[in-house]
Amino acid sequence: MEDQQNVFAIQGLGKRYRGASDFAVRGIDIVCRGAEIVGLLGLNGAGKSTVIKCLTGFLPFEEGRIEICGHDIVTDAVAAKRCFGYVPDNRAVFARMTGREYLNFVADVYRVGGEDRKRRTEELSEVFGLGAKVDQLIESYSHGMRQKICLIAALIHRPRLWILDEPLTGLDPQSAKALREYMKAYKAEGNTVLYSSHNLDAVEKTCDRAVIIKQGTILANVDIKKFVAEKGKSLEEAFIDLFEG
Amino acid sequence: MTETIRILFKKDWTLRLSALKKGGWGKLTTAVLFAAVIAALLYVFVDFARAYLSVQYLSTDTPFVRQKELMTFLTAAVLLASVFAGTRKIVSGLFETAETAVLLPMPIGARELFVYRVLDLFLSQLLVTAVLLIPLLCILGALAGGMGWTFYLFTVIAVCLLPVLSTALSSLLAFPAFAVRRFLSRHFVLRLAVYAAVLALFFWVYSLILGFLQTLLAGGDLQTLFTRETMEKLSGLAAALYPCNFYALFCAGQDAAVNFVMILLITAACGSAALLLVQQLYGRILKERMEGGDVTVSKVRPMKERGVFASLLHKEFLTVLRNPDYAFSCFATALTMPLMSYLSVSLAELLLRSRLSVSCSFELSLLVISAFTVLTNTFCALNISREGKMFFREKTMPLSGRILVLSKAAFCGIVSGASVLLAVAAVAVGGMVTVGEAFVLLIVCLLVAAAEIFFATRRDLARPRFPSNERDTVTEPGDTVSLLILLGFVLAVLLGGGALGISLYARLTSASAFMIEVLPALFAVALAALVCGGSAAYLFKGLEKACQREESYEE
Repeated sequence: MEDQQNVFAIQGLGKRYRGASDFAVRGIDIVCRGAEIVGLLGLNGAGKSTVIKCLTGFLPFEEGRIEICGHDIVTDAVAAKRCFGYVPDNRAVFARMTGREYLNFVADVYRVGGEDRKRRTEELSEVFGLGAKVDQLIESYSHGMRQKICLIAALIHRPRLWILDEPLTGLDPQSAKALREYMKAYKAEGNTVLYSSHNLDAVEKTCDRAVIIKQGTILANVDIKKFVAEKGKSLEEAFIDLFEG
Repeated sequence: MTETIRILFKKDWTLRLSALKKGGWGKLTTAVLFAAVIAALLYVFVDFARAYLSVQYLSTDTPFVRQKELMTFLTAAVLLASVFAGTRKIVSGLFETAETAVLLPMPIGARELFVYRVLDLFLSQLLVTAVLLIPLLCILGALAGGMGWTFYLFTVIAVCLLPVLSTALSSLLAFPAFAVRRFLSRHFVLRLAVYAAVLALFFWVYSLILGFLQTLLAGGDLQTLFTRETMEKLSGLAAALYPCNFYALFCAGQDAAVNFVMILLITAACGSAALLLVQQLYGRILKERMEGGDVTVSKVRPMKERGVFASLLHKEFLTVLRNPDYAFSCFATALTMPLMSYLSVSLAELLLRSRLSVSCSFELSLLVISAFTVLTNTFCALNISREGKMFFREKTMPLSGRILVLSKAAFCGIVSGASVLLAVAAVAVGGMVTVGEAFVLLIVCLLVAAAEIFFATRRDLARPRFPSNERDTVTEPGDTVSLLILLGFVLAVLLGGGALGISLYARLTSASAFMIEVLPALFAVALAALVCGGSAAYLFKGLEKACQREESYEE
């Protein structure tokens, strides 16, 4: 019964890349039950992206279990994948489609109704400032614009879980602020956001909880406000202390 | 300026040497094969030239006159090819390479960059022109006889001057070519139509060559090709081929001074016009390009709801149509395959009838169409690779591997199926096969196409080659393409050859009508169905697991 309330649950995740002798991540346990914004933090190569790629079904894994909205990502992959929207760190899109065509394709894949997709496209294009670019070929977009179309595509089906891997890369300050505010508004609607970033200032301003990963294992799983208050420092300084200590 | 250009050339050499060091054996093999092809062509050319020089209808038709005609044609061919290649190189080298974006922020002027590119082009064209023209012109000189040392000296001078003209013409044409290319890049269907037209033109030339071969096979002697009428046309053409005839006359020493001055004047005029145009336009276009000038605005299309499979199919169509490389290798090849098949079947039919006095159009059509089908289907060997980064993104979408792969196979099947249908219709309408035979032909070739698509897709899934260039396009064929072509040809030979063998054996032994008419068809259908079944099993066995397999692309 308790499991059904989880938006996602990662239990004992262990992933070893092909040909590697060591596990990239091991013993990862993260459970998220309701409306919150969870930050996934760590140094380069700590295993944040590996966790996200396993969670999204991008990578197979050797140990553990992952469930999204009660669906196992391995045995019930299609149902599990319908529950989340994913913004990859590489801004992968079909560059020879226009923004609108791409969003229409994603809406088809997630079975979003005709009226809903139109309304959400207009609404999200306005939120993220895509404007008339939505009807131009994506190959003509700047990095920031590509990031915006990825953000909109991830939200077109209003997923229960919104996963973002380094979403601020390439965004101008205004768009970054709009994204942070939208994340909060999305959480307020009862949804969950999992957010991996190096930008600790943004994480401190946005997230409720931080899962800190070091060398493939969880170093800390903290309530950010309490953590910062206990340390009496900014999240960035506390984070550096944690790693140097 | 000189120092900057020297540094840029040094960079080029470093890159070329580095490229040469990679895959040494492969490059050596290519070089040896290339040399063998050149040697074979030279051998054929000597025979052809000897026959051409000896053609005489009037008292004025001396070998010397024929030599000048042939020299004019050779010069024209080399000039045309050089201008085409040069224009292409300038357009891609100046306006479209990532290198330009890297070099421009450096203290290198647009003018220096242009001079360096043009100089590079001139040197490469000089090399190619010298390697191609000097041996051919010298062979002609030796065959015609009576050529003094001036002929060889003038030939070398002409060969050095021709690349100046081709470079200047290429520079002049680069701007309109760039404008046309940019226009076409925004009009996908028109671009596809142009590609198909160019390919059709290519096959029309191909058909002329086949016709030439047919006449040759029928007559058995090169001389029979050069009728009085043909020679009159060729003489007229040579006289009108300006400025190539100036080069030929200059080399031959006929009014050498006048022709030399004409060559210099034409070259100087083209060079000056090119310089003027470059000064006016180059900097402006380059700046516009660097500012991201190509804003492609599409019509606002309403968001239409589709089923998942239909949406994936639609996505395949859009992404292929809008990528010039993929559109060419997929649609343009599929569109021209029927013409190619029709011409080849008619030639093969003529050959067989003249040698064995039997007509086996059905079996030949089977051999030829199934062989050409594999050429259309080589595109399917990129079914997974061409997704690039999106292949990984699709893994995170609620899509099963089966639906993803099936949508790709269906897209290829539609294109390939339409192509096969047209090819079969062409041979049927041409009266080469009966309606019943056409039906069997269609079934067999569709099965062959399906088998090839299944095989290519699964093999590409097992070892994808994702694009790593700025165009996000797979440009180099991988080993899946080579293997597919090899297996496709083997299958075509087995199908066509087997059916032909059965048919010929039955006819030569005066077997029953069943043996002659039905057994070859039964054999072909059975073999094609067997191969298609095997290929489908190869595709679908463990497909989901293969789709979720870990890739090394982004690790």
